[in-house]
Amino acid sequence: MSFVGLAFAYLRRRWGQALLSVIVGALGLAAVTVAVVGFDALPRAARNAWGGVDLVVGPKGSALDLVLCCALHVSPPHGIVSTREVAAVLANPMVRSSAPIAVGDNVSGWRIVGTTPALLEVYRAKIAAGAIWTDKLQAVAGATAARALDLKLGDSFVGAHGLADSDEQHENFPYKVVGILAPTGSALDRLVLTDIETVHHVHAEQAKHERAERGSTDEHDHADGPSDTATAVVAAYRLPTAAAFMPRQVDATETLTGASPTFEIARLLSYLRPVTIAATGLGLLLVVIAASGAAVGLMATMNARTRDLALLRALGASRAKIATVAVAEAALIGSAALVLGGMLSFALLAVARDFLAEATGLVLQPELDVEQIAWVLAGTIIVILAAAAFPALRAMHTEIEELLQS
Amino acid sequence: MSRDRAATAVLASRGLTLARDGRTFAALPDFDLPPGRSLAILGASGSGKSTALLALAGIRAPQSGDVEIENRALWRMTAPARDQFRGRRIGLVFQSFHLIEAVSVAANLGLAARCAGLRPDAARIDHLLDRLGIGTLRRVRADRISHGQAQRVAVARALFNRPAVVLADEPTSALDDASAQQLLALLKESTSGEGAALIVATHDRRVIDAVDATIEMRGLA
Repeated sequence: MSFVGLAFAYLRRRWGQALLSVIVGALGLAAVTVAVVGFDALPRAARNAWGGVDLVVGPKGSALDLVLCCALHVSPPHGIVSTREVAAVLANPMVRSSAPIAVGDNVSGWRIVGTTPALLEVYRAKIAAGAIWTDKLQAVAGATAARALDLKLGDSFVGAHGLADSDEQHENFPYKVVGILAPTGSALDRLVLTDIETVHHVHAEQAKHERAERGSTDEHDHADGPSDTATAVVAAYRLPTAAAFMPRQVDATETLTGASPTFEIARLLSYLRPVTIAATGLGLLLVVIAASGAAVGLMATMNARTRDLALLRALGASRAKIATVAVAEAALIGSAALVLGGMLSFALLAVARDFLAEATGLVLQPELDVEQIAWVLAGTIIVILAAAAFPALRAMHTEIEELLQS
Repeated sequence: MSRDRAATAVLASRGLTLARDGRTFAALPDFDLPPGRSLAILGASGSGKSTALLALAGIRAPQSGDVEIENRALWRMTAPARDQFRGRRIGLVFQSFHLIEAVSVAANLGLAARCAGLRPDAARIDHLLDRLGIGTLRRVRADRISHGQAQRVAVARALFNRPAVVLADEPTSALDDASAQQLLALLKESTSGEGAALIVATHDRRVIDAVDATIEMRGLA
């Protein structure tokens, strides 16, 4: 049996205490990893989600709401804008392309967005199958939405009013799938696109139908805006320098707000930073508690094991060899915590990824680079050595004489 | 001591005096011990027998004198060299055996080799355990064996690295007559069978008849 084997045998004898140290250490490690890696991955996920959208122009109000609604497609709309008015503001050589966004309907919870073919230019998206719409009530599905809804070319579906799955379906207006987009990694993948005129048409016809059912003859009795309206207009810049001018130029108008996804998400994440710092701090605290617990446990067992250690010395083991027993015990606990913590981190990040994808459409792609792995390993080794230091010193200074005379 | 005796002795003790709290309090008469022979160091409690055994084992430095084992002066070695030498050439049997309870009987023997920087020899473990009549305990954890079995494991461990000399401290003090005779016979038979010399430090007069020679501690206070 080696000294590492002996350390393992000692751990097996006090498995409850060792397991506790492993679990607390693993939780700490997982908390730190998830906080650091998750926070690192979140901006990337958001950047991927808004794709090529550099600017969202909507009605006066919260810029963040505009970004969440019309770039990330995770929140409801707040008003409408005149596409003609927006087009006038965006008529600028710095703008590469722009497209209106009209939200308000869904199919089984997946957003139906009325727009123009120019939206594909904004996102630099390509059609994987079929073609873009050429008529009303034709739809082009994003890659994820098509897969989730099992939509194929030629299929029909019925939209429902609102952004969540509901019974208020536009049954008289079935859509036909004429195209499916190639994956872009952006929020576009989760949308079902149609001509903006279709959205206006469906809502106008639906309103007319409802008026007829109520017996109303008032032509103005409908909730939807005129046909040159949209929830917002998204735009892509030709030049990065446009970011310095365009939002301000839009904001200078009386009725429009210009929102930059980059700026708004950075601002949102800055609000989240204290949460990340707190989570990291809590994780580090757990790691320190685990290391202290392991160290105290090791110290206690070293004291209880004085005779064993003295015996090993009497049998010829050097002081350094005796110290390896304590270090090996701490290393075994640390390694187990590292492995369990790693598995926990992956599990938590997977849960977070699924939750975020489900709730917000953001696709978290956590990446551990070599430097981060090196830091985690170095940190673990430092914690192991710190936990083992005092017990190892205690073991090294075990005197044999008392043993022989006991 | 004649030249011949010195040449054949596996252990020679020369001028050992022992100190406690900085004051010399006992002396061990000089002696030579050939391989396969046994010697008892006798003395009352507190006479310095165990301290003498520590000096013979290279654990506690004597006030003066030295111990030669296989013609190597123990107290002229460096501490690490002495530790390794002890592990390889000196077997120790403690009064309360001191087995490592967390591991198996075989692992207790294997650790004796590891401590001495040697590779444990599985065949040697089987051979010794069989020879001492405890071959079936090979995989049994040391905290699950009886007192008598622990005694035999302790002897097997002391012999495992083929030592030149086995030192036993008060091995019979807590035993009845029959058990004491049995242990002494086991110690003598197994050490001489392995070609090792045996030194027993004891105040138990029952040991006298079982060993080849005896010496008495001399008080200097």
